Amino acid sequence: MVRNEYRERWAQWLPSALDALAKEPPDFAAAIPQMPLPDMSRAALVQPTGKLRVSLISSSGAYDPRIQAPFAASSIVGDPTHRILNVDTHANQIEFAHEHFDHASAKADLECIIPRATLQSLRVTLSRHLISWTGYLLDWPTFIEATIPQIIRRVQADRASAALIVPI
Amino acid sequence: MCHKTASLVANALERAGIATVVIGTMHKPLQVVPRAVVTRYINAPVGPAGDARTHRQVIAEALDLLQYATEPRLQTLRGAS
Repeated sequence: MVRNEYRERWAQWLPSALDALAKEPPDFAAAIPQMPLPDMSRAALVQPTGKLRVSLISSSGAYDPRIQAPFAASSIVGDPTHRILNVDTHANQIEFAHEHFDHASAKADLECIIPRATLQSLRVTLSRHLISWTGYLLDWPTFIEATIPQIIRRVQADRASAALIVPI
Repeated sequence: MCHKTASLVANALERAGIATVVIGTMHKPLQVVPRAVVTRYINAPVGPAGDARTHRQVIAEALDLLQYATEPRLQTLRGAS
């Protein structure tokens, strides 16, 4: 097994966190702030070149229920996976599996969190897919090792020159 | 936690050569991303439902950062309606 220093620190924290989260109601304050963090340093700026082609990325837990399973929104440990949606998916066909934000604004007007029409009105080309994850997740090692690399590959495969990321 | 995981995604994309801008509602976790616009619209970071004028203002600000910022910038949008 390949050693991963961050995963080891995280695994040491997990049992106490699960104890706190097993309470009714879950004691988020006793668990979440203690979670070990990976390297959070800022990357050097990349300048977009040529005409902007933007990938839209959201932590809203958006998914297309016609073809996708919802995120495990009720799991106390969250869900480290992601979903890829066609960029032209109708707003009425997008649902949200995320229990840590009020969906009312997003359901009334998707532009609040996934601003496709607004970007297009400003003559920005969108890449072929929307990407989403659900922002409440405790399995950061899996998110870092598996999910983020897949997000990067999707953005690259869509030939986006930039990404607009909207956390909730 | 949404904002912290968004900062992970933004920095990973930049390291992979993709420029990023984040639109969020919390200052502290976005201080470590290359470019961010912070608004006051909880649950609707781009602006309130139906408020196309604010959506346009927020996105224009984000695009301006994306295209013209040459150093890390966190822009607080106070003027939006």
